[in-house]
Amino acid sequence: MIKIKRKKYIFDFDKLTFQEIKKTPGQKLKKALVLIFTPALMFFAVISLLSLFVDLPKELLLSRQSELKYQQLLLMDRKLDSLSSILTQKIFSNDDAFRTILQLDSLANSIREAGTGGSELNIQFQNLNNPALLLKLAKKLDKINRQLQIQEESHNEISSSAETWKEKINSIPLIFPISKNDLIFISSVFGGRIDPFCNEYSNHAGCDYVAATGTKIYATGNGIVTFLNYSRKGYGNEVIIDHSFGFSTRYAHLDKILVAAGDSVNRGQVIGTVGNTGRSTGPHLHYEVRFEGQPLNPFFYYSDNISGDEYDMMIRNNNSKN
Amino acid sequence: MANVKYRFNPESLNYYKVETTFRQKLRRFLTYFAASIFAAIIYYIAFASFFDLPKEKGLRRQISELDANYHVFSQQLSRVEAVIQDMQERDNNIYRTIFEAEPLNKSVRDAGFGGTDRYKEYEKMSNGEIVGQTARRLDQIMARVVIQSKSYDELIEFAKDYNSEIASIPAIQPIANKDLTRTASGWGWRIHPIYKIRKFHYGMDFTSPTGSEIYATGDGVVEEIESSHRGYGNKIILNHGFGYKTLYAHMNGFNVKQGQKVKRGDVIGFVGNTGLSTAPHLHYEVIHNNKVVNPINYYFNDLTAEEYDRMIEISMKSGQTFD
Repeated sequence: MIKIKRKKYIFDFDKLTFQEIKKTPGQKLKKALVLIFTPALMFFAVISLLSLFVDLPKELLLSRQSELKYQQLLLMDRKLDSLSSILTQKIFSNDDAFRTILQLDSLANSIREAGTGGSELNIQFQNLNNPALLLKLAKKLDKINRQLQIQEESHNEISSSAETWKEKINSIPLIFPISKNDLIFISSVFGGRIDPFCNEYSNHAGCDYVAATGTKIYATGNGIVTFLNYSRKGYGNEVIIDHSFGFSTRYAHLDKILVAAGDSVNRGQVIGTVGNTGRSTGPHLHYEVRFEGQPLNPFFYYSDNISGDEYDMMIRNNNSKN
Repeated sequence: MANVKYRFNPESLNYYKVETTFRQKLRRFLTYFAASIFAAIIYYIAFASFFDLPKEKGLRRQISELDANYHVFSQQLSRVEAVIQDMQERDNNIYRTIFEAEPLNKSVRDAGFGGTDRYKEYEKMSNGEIVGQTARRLDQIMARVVIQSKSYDELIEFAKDYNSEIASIPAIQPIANKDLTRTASGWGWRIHPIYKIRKFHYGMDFTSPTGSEIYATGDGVVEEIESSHRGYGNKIILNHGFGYKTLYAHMNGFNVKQGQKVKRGDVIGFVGNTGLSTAPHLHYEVIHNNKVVNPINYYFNDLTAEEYDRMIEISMKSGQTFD
């Protein structure tokens, strides 16, 4: 089949003949370009017009993405709030309670609030139409970071104080030096008394507890044996324990001494036995509690509320532990 | 006459005018238009894949900025979370050191506590706590009321007595204890802080800074004031009548004199650390007919049902007391 080119002719009135319309390549190109670019132009025109009134699909997509990010930040805000409330409701109030018990100064609320200051975070927000949320988040984060720092320091103080508190309770002389069941009676108390040997008034620096010879004597607090002596005079066989915190105890007229100088002892540990050595009229324990060298009344350093059996239970527990 | 075009018909050897009907023209135009739109869409897709309009550019910048910030915040938030968790652990350790017990977990409350089992059946009901608490209250106050056969005069006398009993019974907490944060060890078996043995704690401890006010928990008379360095330290015993007495121990100082009449809420003294005590606190006891009883039943004017529950939880924690 022969393809007939669909030529078009135009009538030339001058030459009075039909002339073929020949398009120059230039003209052809021009027509082609027009064909291609008119829709392009139309497209631009329409898009520009549309974008004034309507969100184009890509815009919608991007908008939605942007919105999502925003939601994530809102969630973060909420999470931050809940962390903040744990800090203020639990951690701060525990802090207060611990400080009360440990007799530390309480932290003023103004210090806890951690004040205001510039943000240390590198926040970019030049491109956002609504930077409010970001700025709010940055501020909250900064505040909580500062509060956490202050709380860390507070914790350090409390932590070491608690350890000291515990150690102090375990070290200070706070129990009776012999088993209540072994005590026969208290023959002499702290303060003035008549010296039985010379009938002179003397100041008694401790307490005398009458018990059978050989009765076990227990360290009344954790400490270190700093002095022991064997003698027939004065205090007789004696042991002195240093409990730190300024406290020391003396156990005198002992029969046997069962520790060595420099030994570390625990409350409830046997250190010797009741005897009659030194200046003594009968087997008894002379017991002293001193603070920075000054004698204190041992009456204030043990509980009357503990029965003989409870005391013995304490000793048993102590033995099984060590 | 311009631009009339002709075609050549090779069969008839004639030139004929190219005439297009309006319909043909319209069709041609519409085709062109449709193709145009189609092309426009192709262009849009092509364009959109490679280029952004200013608005879109703006959105992209927003998104990337939000993203960058999100990452910064996210890191910060994780760090804050980790630090807070760490802190709670440290808190727990300090708690264990001081109380020799596991720190409180809000979930479970120890089921049942000594003595008052007849209120247990109320716990099964909804609003059980409120009913149980009300029942307790009624029992305590109305135990001696027999209204039916009283004459009017007797009733008035009775009501007078009644009112004074209500005013006299210990019914509030002895110190300001907002949110129950000052509640420490309560009634029951505890570990003695010094002897480290199991010993029954006959009372309730409240931690409070030295010098905090102590209130009379019911109307009454100051029966006993004792200054001491031993055991209970400085202490006061109030006699409320109707068989009730209350004891306040380890005080720092007194605000009343022996024999003085007091009303519920009067400041009778201040919290201290006297006697054998390991930290400043108030040791509080309620005594009924010469027997020490669990003070937890005697705060009903002060606590809601939930607070009551919570206080049981806190004070029941087995552990170390301060005295």
